[in-house]
Amino acid sequence: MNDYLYMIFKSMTHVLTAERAARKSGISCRMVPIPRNVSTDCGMCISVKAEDGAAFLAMAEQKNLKPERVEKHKGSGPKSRCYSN
Amino acid sequence: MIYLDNASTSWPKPESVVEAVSDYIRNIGASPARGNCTAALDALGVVLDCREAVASFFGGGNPLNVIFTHNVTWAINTVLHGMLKNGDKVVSSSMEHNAVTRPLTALSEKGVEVVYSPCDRQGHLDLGAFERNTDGAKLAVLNHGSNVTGTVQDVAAISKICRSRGTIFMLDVAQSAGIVPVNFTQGADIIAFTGHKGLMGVPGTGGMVFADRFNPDQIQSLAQGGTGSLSEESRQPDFLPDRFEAGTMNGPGLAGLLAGIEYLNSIGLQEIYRRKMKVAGMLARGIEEIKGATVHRPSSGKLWTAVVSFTLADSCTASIADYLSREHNICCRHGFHCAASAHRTIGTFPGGTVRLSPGLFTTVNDIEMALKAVRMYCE
Repeated sequence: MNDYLYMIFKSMTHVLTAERAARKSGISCRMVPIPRNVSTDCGMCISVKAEDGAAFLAMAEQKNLKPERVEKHKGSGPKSRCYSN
Repeated sequence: MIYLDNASTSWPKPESVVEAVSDYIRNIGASPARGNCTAALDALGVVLDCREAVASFFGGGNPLNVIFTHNVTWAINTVLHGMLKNGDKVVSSSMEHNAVTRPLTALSEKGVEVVYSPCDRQGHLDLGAFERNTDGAKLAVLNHGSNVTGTVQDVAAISKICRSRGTIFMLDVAQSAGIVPVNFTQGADIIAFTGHKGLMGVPGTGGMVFADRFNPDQIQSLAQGGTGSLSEESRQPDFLPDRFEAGTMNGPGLAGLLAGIEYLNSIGLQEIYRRKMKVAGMLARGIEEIKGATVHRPSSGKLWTAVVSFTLADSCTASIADYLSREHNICCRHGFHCAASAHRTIGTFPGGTVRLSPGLFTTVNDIEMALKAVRMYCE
């Protein structure tokens, strides 16, 4: 099971902007609903493999898209009861 | 795609709505109430037709009492910010959307007394508490149908209380219009509506309708600007609807809203309710049969806006929504649906719910596919 990082942004617009920027930079990531045990915000965040985390954050810093928070979690399948379990 | 997010916005739209928007853009084009060319008059005619359709739909009299805004949130804000000032009291409920609670919070920081009346775990207003809380209130603002549970409030009883206290009553019908009957005979003074949900119009449309007995001079306009009338004066016109309609109107959107209302009228509200109850009831019952599942809705026999909000024991609502979207291409909402207070009321805070909201075009097959997907998630 891989380790992942959740990149939490302040709005959906920031999430999508960062996801597009990551794709353009060749960084693999996926937008997922923010798990309720991470935040009660109803929006989405970006899930990035831990090994790509540094590249994502460097890209985000450069584009002035720094996430508000970064949360570690264990990767799991789409049917997980909660991503971090 | 299986679209089950009609409580956010209805989709698909009737073909007549698509055609009306397209026709306006292709063949009318001009700005309503701006200029004297045929196209501008045609544009104004479409907007007036839409006013008449909205007035008639809500059982109101004067179409000039119909004010169009960007959406229902803007309409609610216009009344709240335009009417309430330091020292005034406003009463609302614990089931409201952020369209109400956020402006009320902003107003409370300016000295307006805001009281939220409690509701039971199905979302029904405690009328006794509401009656007590309404004492001395200038305004009551409540949603008709909950966007979380689909619970429908007893408007006639609420109106009666407001009338006895001399309190103005604004009813937010964003979730109920086009599904259950809403009209001024139930007693509201102001109806705030959206065009793009049950009324089958397009986003960017909505507004408020004043009862003929209501004096709109109590509301200051939030925005001032061009109206195509009294252009020599620097003051905003004080007559309706111009007082509240500064700037270019959304002609294409209102053409679509007009077609949407005409579509609903051609079917009839009773038939629409029957169709929605058929699919929503099937969905709710199917989920309730799943072990560990709870559907948060009013009890059988109560009016309901066909919103199926559910939780699964030990499951994160974000995870369920992600699974339904990614693996089954089902559109739904999860979390609080911009109504955290409603979740505190019904006991689903902080996890929220997954909300599946069927629409006018949802089929039995859509429901079977959605139920299969939820069952697979639980396996």
